[in-house]
Amino acid sequence: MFETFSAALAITTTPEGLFLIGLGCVVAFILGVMPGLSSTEGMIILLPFTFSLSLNESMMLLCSAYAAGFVGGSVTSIILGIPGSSVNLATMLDGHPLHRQGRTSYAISLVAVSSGVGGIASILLVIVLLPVMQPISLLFGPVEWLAFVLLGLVVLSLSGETSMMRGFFSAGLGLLAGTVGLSVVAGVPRYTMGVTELWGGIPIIAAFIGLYPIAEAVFMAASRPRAIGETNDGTIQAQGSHGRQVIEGARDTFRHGKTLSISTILGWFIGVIPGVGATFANFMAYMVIKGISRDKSRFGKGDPRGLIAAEAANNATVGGALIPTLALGIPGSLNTAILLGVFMLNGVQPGANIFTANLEVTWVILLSTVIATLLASGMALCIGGRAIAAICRIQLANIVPMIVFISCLAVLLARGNPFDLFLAFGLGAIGVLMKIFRLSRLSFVIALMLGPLMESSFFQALSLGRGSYVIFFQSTVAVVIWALIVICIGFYAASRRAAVADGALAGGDEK
Amino acid sequence: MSDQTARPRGRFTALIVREWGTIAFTILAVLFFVGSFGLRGESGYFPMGVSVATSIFGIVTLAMAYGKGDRHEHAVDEADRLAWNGRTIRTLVWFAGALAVTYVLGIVVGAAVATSIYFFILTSVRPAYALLNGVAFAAFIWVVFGKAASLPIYDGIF
Repeated sequence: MFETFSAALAITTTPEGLFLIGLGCVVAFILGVMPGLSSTEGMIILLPFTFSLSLNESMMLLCSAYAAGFVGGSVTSIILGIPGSSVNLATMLDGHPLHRQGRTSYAISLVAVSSGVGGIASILLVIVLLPVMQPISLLFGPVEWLAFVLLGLVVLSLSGETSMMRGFFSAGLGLLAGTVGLSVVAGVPRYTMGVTELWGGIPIIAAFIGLYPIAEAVFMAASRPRAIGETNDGTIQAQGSHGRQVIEGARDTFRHGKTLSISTILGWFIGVIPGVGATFANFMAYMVIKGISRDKSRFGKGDPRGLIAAEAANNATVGGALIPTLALGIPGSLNTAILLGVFMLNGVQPGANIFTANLEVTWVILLSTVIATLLASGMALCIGGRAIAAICRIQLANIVPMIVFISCLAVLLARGNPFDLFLAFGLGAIGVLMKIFRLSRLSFVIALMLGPLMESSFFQALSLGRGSYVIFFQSTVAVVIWALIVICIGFYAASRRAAVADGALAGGDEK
Repeated sequence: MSDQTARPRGRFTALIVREWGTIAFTILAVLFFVGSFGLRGESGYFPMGVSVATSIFGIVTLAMAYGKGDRHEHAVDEADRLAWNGRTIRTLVWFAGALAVTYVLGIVVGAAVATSIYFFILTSVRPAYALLNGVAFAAFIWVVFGKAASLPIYDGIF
């Protein structure tokens, strides 16, 4: 393990490696600053560059974008009072009041340091657990893997963008889309309608690109110009120098060590659960810390604990999300699904071999995430309010051409087949419809990606059981996972019923 | 105003108008089920099972939406609402045109032309400025992707 760690450290600290990490950081940070965009768009924009890079280089570029996007959005939340993305909602609650009090640099310092600590601690937790993860991943045969994927899809549907039933419906559609192409069992073409380009199935890159950036580009292009307020109308007086506020912020972050630790651990565990991402972690940590604090009077008025909790938690999800992605090949978010897609394009199947034959790539991922978190935190401390306001003034509609054409490049470069471009735009139309009718695109994409593997696991398990379905209930691990699925659904249904009974919701269909 | 006392036919029509997309996807799931009968051997089992489950989920979703009547008229997020106005229509036409132009002329020239059209039509920018944007964008793609990465970005029909 030490040899692979040394090799990975050597790769990530070369000038080329640091350049790739820096590039990913800068692109994702800038996009994270822009309201409505996040690290996901950063990763998608960088995706075409990865096709001519090695797997290690691709991971350095994409993982740095993954880690840096959260920090960019938090700066916008503080200065402009607009969440940079959904993962920075809770950051705004105490961050913007601090800006109004003239303590902008103090707030940004709190964010930078807590993001850095949360992100790095979550990666260190992964490193500590690495020796344990390989034996655990070996426990997962076809039955266990099938059960865990279903658990992931169920949890995604329960905690995702829409109601449970729409989430299940979306996942089902994704599984059906995954059956298009040559059958994994019999090798015959299915649902291809005579189109030979579909024999390989719906390409995952075209699916990502169509359902997300192209669909979002339609909404962006049709959006009304956004009016962004000035960062300072002249009435805000800075309380102390920039340097003094930065030092005070860093010191106060560590002074609230209990808040920092609880939020980091909470965020990490939330990141491990597929589908429950940084948005939930951001708010959950804020509410938990507020709940356990004796003095709650300052929350929402500039309490540093609110900022520390929100930012440490959302960055801690990065390390947590890598666990199911690397160990089991089950992505829990679109960001990790993109990472997994690049793995597959390079012929590497995550799972037990990540900790043996491909351990160097794993170390590269972890190290580049650490370096990117440090870099992004440093950028947050250095960037000024005027620069933020200038970036935010760029109207989303004006960057649509760049997004569309970089997306087209990503699709074309993945397989070199122009048919994929039409497929991506067709899926873009489907993505628009899914967004309008509140169906979960994330469940669809992850089910599409995992569907063929689920089917082959299903038939492998059946052949191990000689055609008997009892095999699915013979393994202790599988039975525990089936039980967890039932518990999750039952708990969700009970909590929704209680909420409706309390009149908290008008109906059970929408969150 | 509640339509709880509306005639069932009115509520059904309202459901179709509100959820035509969900209905279309449910029909698609049913079509997958029908198609699975034509598949040989074990290749049809998985799509058959998944399409049955998906169709049931779709029908239950629609039934829940129907049961709520006007209480289903929730406040849709602005971001989820696609306003069907002239700007949206022009955007969609541009998308179709951009795809066709890029395919025919190749990614570089296609990007330049399509970007110019976008800025001219959708952002009401002067034609010369729009053309400059398009050429700059094409040059950017050529330098970054073509020169730097030696990627085949000139492919097109011509």
